[in-house]
Amino acid sequence: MTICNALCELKNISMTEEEDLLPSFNENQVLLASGQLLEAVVILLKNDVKHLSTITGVYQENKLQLLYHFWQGEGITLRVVIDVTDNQVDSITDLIPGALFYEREIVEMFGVKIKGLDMATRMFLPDNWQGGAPMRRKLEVGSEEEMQEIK
Amino acid sequence: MSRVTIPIGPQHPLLKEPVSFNITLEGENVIDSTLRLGYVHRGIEKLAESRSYVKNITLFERVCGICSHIHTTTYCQAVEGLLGLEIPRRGSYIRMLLCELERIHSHLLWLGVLAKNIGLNTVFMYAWRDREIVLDLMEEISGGRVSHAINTIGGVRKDLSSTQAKKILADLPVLAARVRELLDIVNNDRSFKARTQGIGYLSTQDVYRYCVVGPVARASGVGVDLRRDAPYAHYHEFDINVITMQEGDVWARAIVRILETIESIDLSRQIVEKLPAGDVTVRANRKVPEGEFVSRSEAPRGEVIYFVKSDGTQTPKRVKVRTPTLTALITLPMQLEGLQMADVSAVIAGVDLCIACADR
Amino acid sequence: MKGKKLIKEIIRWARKKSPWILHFNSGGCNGCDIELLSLLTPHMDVERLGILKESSPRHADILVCTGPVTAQTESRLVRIYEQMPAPKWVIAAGSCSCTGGVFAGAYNIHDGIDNVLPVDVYIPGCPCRPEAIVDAVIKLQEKM
Repeated sequence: MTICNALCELKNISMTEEEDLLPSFNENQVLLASGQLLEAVVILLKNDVKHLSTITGVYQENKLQLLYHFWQGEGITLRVVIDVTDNQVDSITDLIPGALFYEREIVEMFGVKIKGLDMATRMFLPDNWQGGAPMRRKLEVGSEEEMQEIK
Repeated sequence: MSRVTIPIGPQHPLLKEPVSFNITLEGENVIDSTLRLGYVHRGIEKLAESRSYVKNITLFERVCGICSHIHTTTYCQAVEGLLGLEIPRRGSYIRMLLCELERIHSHLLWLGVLAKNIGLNTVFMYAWRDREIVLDLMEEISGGRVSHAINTIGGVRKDLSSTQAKKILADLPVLAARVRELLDIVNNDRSFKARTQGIGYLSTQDVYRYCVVGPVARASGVGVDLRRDAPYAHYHEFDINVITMQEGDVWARAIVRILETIESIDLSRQIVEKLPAGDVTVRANRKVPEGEFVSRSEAPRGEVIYFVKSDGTQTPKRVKVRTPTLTALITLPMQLEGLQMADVSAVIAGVDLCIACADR
Repeated sequence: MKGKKLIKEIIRWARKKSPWILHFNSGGCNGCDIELLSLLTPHMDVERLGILKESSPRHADILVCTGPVTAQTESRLVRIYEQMPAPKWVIAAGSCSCTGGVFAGAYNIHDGIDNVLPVDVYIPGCPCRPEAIVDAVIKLQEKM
C-alpha cells in the first residue's frame, strides 16, 4: 500500500509525457527532472519508503540518467534525467544519510556534480588517477588509448 | 592529552584485504576515524560492458570469493528476467542449496576471523575445521571449493545425484552438532562475551537512516530478510525463520549469524529432501532483448542488488552491482567513536568486511 | 674457513626449514586469501612444515601475494617488499597475480605482479588450492 500511495503522489510531479519512451523495466518507475529529486524523496519518506538500495548511473549517447532504487516490500525507482549542460543534481544526504557512498561513487565514475557533497578525498579511484570519469568513456577494454591512460 | 593517529591497513594482521583506516586517539579512546576504500577497485562494471552475458558469469563470480555463488545467482536471475525465462524447479532448488551452503561457510569463516582478531585462536581453529565439512560438500556438488561455476543462464550446469544427496543428508547433522557447540561458546564463554558485548553499538534508528542491511541490521532489531520478504528462486515454498536481536552490539551480531547458520543447515536438509525431479536447465538465447531488470537477493552479508541494462545485442550495456558491505562500512566511524583502542579489532571484524565486494 | 662455511650451511638449513610467510592481498577477490588462511587450520596444518604466517614484513622470508595489482596498492606492495629483510622471495598465488586472471585489461590494474616485483614461484588456479600453495613453498625450499 505504501508504494501505491507514493506512486500516486509522484505521478503529479513526474514527466509523464515522456514515459512511453522508457525501456521495459520490472519495477515501478517514475521519470523526473533533476530539480524535482528532493521533492520526490520527501514524498517517499512521508509514505514510509525509507530503504535506498543504490544509485545507478546510466550513460547513453551523451545523455545521463540517475536511477535511485528504493525498496519497501516492493521496488520503486526514481529516474532522474541529468541535463548535460547543467550536469548537476542535489544531494539527498540530508534526508537519507546512507546515500553518501552511492553519491560519491556517481561523482567519481560519471563526473556529475552533486551540490552539497564533500568530495575532498577519492573513494574508489586511486589517488593518482588522471583518466577522467571511467564510466563515461567509450573505450574498448585493452585498447592502446586505455593502456596509455592507466600508466 | 595529545592526539595520536594510528593507521590500520592496507597491510595489517587484522585485515584480509587492503583497506585503510586512520584512527585518531586521545589517550586510549578513539575520537575519530576515517576510511579509504579503493584498493581493490578493479573496474568490474566497465569490464562487463565488453564481454558477453555468459562470459560475465565468470567475471561476476570473482567479485568476491566468499559470496561468489550469490553474485552469479543474482546476475543470472536478472538476465533470465530480461529473456523472460522460467528455470526448471530442480535447477532452482540446486541454486538454493548452494546459496544456503555458502551462507553456512561464510558465517563460519566470519566467526573464525572475529575470534582470531580478539585473540581466541582456538575458536578460529574450531570454526574453520568445521567449515571444511561444508567445503567438501560444495566440492562434491560443483567441483570447486571456493568458486563453484555452477550457474548458467537458464539454470545450473550440473545435476545432483542420489549418492551426493545421501552424503549431504549424512554430513549435515554432524555439522549441526558442531555449530551448536560454537553457539554454546558464544553464548556462555566469559572472555568472548567480555570482548564483544557493549561495543560497536548501532541503534535501530541509525539502521534506517543509513540503509544498513543484513545481519548487522537484524542484530539491531530490523527484521528484514529478502528470502522471506521478497522471495527469489523458490524460497516461497519454504518457511524462513528471520532471527533478530535487540542489543545491536558485536555479540548480538555473532548470535544472529550463528543462529542463521543453524537455520541454513536445516533449510539445506529440507531442500535436499524435497528436491523435485526434472531438468536442471533450459536453453537460453545469446541475444538478450532490450530492457532493464533489477534483481535482489540475500547474500550472507545482506541485500545484493544487480541492475542489468540490455540493448538487444550479446553484450550488456550496463551492469550495476551494489553489495551489502558498503552499507555497513558507512557506519563504522560512528561505531568506533568513544571506544578504547583494544576494542577496535572486534568492531572491525564484527561488521563482516568484504572489501572486494564493496570496491568491485 | 671450514668453520665459516659450516656456519653458513647451518644458517641456510635453518632458514629453509622455517619459511615464514607474509600475506598481502593486492586487490584480489579473496578466494586465494581464504585458501591461504585455511593452510593454518587443522585440515592442512602447515606449522608442521615450519611455515608461520607473520604479521610484519620485517619478520618474514617469503611474500605470498594474491590479486592483480591495482593502481592504489602498487606503491604499498613495493614498499612492503623493500621493508622485508634480505634474503627474500616472492610467491605469486593465483591466476590474478600471475597474469591478471579474469580482470586482465581492466583500467585499474597491472596484469600480474611480475610487472612490479621479481617473482620466484607462480601458482596458477582460480583460486589456487591450499595443496598447491604448500607445494609451491616446498619447491621454493629447493631454491633457498
